[in-house]
Amino acid sequence: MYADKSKEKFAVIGGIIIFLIVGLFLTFSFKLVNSQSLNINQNSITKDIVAYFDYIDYKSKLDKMGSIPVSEGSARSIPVLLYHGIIKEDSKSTMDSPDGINIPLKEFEDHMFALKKAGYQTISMEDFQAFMHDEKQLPEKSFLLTFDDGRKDSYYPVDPLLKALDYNAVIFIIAKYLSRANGYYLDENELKEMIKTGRWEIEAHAFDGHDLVKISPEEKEGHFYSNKLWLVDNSRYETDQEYTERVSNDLEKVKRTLENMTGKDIAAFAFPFGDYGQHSTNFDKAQKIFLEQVKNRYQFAFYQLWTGGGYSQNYPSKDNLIITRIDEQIGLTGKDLINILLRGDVKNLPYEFNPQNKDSWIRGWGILNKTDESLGIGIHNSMTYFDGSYLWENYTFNLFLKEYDDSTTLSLLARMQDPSNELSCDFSDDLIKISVEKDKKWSTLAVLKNYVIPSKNAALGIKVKGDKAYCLVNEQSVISTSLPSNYPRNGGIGIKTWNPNTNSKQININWINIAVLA
Amino acid sequence: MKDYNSVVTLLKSTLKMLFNKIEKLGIWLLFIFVVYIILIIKVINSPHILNSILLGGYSFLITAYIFSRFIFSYFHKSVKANLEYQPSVTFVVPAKNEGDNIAKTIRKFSQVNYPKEKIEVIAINDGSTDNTLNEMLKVKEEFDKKNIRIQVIDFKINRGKRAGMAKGVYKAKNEIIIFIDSDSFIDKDCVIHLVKYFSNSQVGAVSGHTDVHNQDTNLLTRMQAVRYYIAFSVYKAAESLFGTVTCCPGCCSAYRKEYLLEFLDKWENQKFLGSNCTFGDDRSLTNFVIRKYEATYSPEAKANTIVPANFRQYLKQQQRWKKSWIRETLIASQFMWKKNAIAAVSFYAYVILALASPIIFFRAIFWQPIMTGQFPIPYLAGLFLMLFLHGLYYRAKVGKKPWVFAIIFFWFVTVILMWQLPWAAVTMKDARWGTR
Repeated sequence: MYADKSKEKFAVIGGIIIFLIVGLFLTFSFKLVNSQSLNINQNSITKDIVAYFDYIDYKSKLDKMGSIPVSEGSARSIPVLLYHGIIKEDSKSTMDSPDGINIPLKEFEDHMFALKKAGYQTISMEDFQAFMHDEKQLPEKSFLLTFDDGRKDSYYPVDPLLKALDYNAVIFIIAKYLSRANGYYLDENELKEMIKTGRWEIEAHAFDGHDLVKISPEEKEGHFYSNKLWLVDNSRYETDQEYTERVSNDLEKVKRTLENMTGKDIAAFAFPFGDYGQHSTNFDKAQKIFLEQVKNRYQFAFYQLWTGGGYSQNYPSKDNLIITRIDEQIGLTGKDLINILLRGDVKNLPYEFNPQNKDSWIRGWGILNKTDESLGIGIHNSMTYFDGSYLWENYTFNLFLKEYDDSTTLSLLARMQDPSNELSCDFSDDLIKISVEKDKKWSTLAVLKNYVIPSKNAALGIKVKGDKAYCLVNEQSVISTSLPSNYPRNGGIGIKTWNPNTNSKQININWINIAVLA
Repeated sequence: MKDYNSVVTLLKSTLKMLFNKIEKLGIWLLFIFVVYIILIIKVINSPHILNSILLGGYSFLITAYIFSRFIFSYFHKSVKANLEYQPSVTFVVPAKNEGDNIAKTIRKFSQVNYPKEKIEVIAINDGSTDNTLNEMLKVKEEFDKKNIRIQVIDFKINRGKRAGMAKGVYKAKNEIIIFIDSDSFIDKDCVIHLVKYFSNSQVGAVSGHTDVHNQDTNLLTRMQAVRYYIAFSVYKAAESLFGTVTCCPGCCSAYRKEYLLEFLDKWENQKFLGSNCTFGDDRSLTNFVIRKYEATYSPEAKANTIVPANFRQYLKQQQRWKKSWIRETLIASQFMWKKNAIAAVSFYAYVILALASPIIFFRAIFWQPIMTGQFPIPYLAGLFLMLFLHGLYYRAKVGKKPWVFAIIFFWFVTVILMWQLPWAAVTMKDARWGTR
C-alpha cells in the first residue's frame, strides 16, 4: 500500500465529507421543505427526506406529550372524520389555499394531536364493517379517518403524522385521474406505495362522477350522479334508462379499476360532494335509483353531514348503507373537534339537563340559544335534537315550562331516526296529538281535543314503551296510541316549535328529564 | 529610494503570494461546491434513476467511482528518494521513422541526475525509412565521448515495437529497464524518482508522470494535456495506492529486468483471437508484471511526450488504446480479484462503467428524447459537471492555462470517444496501426 495514512489527510477528507453530508441534509431539509408541494410529482427521495424529518418532529412532539389515556369501554357508535387537502401554509405553490374544504396543516396537526391526547385511535375499514354489522367490539374511542378525492396533498403532508401517531386512514379515489401524470391527484404508483405503508386504504369516490355536467337547457351545471344530463346535441334530457345506465356504469368502472389495481374488494363508496340527491335534483327518482345502484355494488356509502342534519356518529345495524361523516371546518381547533366527538357519543339514561351536556343539543333549524340554565327555542319554526340519543328505546321525556304560551305549538319528539323521521306529541292551545313523520310525510295516530294545558308551571312529556306511545301532562298520560308495526323500536329525542308569528320570541326550557323505562 | 523600491517589490511579491494562496483555496472550495452540486443533482434525479436498475446502478457507480479516485489519489504517498539505493539502469528506446525527435530524446539521458557509470542506452532502429538510424549514430558518437554506454541496434526490416523492446531487454546489462518512447523527453530527476520504488522487491514496474510536450499547439493538444495530467495524477495515483497500476505507459516507465525476463518471450509473441498483438505493448507488459508483482506510479518522475495534433490521428491512437484496453482488461479480469479487495472492486467497477457508458449515453441522448420527448439536460449537465470537476482539479494543481476551453472540448470529445469502445470491440481483429 502506497498510502499516506497521516491524521491530517484523514482529517481533511473526513472534514470535507462531513461538510458535504451536512450541507446536503440542510439543503433538503430547509429549501425543499418549503417548496415541497412544488416538487410533489418529481422527487420521491426529496419527499422521503422531508417526510422523515416531519416524522421525527411529530414523534418527538408525541413523546413530549406524556402518557396517553387508553379507553377501557367498548364503542357504541363510531364517528367518521372527513378531510380533503391539507395545505402546508408556507407552500408557495399555486395549489389550493385553505378554504374550508382544504385546511392548513397546522390545524390538521392540532386535530390529530388532540385526538391522540384524548385517547382516540383510528380503525381500519374492515373493523368499521365488522362493527357496523355488530360482529366486533371496538375500543370506546375509535374513529375512522377519511379523505376524499385522492389528492396528493391528502397524502404527503399527512402520512408522516399518521406514521408518528400510529394512525391509519381511508382515501376515496377519483379513478379517472389515476393514470394521468399530474401534479394534483395521486397516481397509481403513489397509491400502491400508500398501500404498502399499511397506513392507507383505498376506496371508491367516482370515475367520471366527480365532474360537473350540464343539467338544464340553459346548460346549468350540476352534480353527475344526482341529476339527469341535458343532452345538448339532442336538445333533450336523458331518459330514465340512460340515467340508470350512466350512473351504474360509472359506479362499476371506478370499482373495477380500483379492484384491478389493489387486488382487493372495494366495498365502500363516498358520494361526490356528499350528494345522493337529498338536496336538489332535476329528477325526482334520482335518489332512489342512485342509492339502489350504489347498494348493488357497495356495502357502505359515505356522505358528509351538514350541521343539524342528524346524529353525527354511526351505529351498528344490519342494513345501514349510508354512513355519516363529520366534515372538517376551517378554524376548528383540536379541542372543538374533541367536543364534537364527545357530544355525538351515546348518552346513558337517566338524563337531566345540565351545563355539561348542553352541547349535545343540536340546532336542526330555527333559533336555539343555549345557556347554562336553559335551552331557549325560537317559537316561530325551530327544531333541536339531542345528539347521541339514537340508541334509546323505552323512556319518558319530560320538560318543564315556567310559562306556557298557548299560541305556540310545542312538539316533543321521540324515537327520532333523523330530523325528518320521528314520533311527536304536539301540544297546542286546545289540541294534543300523536303523529309520526316519515320522510317529510306526516300521519296522525291519535288526537285529544279541548284539553287545556296549565299556563304556569306545566310539565309536558312523551313516553315510548314497546309499541306504545303516550303524551304526558304533569307526568300523567293524557293520550296514547299503538305504533305502526314497522316503526323502529329505538330513536332519540328532540323539540320542535311552530307559531305563525314570525318574531324572535323564544320558549325557555329550564328542566328536562328523561327516565329509562324497564 | 532604493530601500523604498525593494520594500515595494517585497510587498508586491508578498501580496502576489497571498493572492495566489487565496485563489488556490477559492478553486478548491469551488471544487467542493461542484461535488455538492453533483450530489444534489443525483439526489433530485434519483426517482427517475431508481426506475431502472441499469440506470440507477450506473449513476451510483460512476459517481462513487470518480469521487473515490480523487480521494484515493489524495492519499497516495510518494516514496522518498534513497541515495543509498542506486541500481544501474538501461534506457531502451525503440524507434521507427522518428528522425525529428530521436536525437533529442536520447540526449536527455545524458543530462539526468544519475551516476553516469550506472547508465546504459539501447536505441533500436526498427526498419526506419528516414534518417532515424543516422540520428541515432550521431548521438552515439556524442555519448561515446562522454563515456556513456550506448548501443544502436538496427533492424533492417520493420519487426514491430515489441520485438524492439524485447531485444533491448535481452541486450541490457543493467538491473532496471526504462522504456522511453522515441517522442518523449525525460526530466533530469526522472531516473532517481523512478528507481526509488525498486528498493521494495515486490515492485516490478513503475510508471513515471508524463505531460504533454506540444500542449500549446492547438485545442486538441491542450485538451490532451488536461487528460494526461488527470489520468496520471488522479487515476494512476489511485491505482498506485494498492500497487495495481494497470498500465505503465511506454512513454516513460521503468521495469525490473529480472522479472521481465520471466515472461518476455510470452509477451513478445502474445496472441489474441489468433493473431499477433501488435499494439498495447505497455498495458500488456504491466499486466504480466502485476500478476505476480506490484506496479506503482511516481508523480515526481516527470517526462513529456508529443501527442497527436490532428483529430484523425488522435482518433486512430485512441482506437488502438481502446482495443488494447479491451484485450488486456479481459486478461486482467482473470486475476484482479486475487488482489487487494478495494483495488479489485475498483477495477471491475471501471470495467462495468466503461461497457455501460455507451448504452447509457445512447439511452439518454437518443432513446429517451425520442420515446418521451425529454431533452437529456440532466445527463449532459451531469457529464459536464464531472468533467468540470476534473478541470478544476487541473486548474488548482497546475495553474492558469486555458483550461476552461480544454474542458469544454474534453466534454465534446468524450461524447465522441464514448463510441470508440464498442467500435474497437467490433474491429478487434484489425491489428493495423493506421498512420500515426
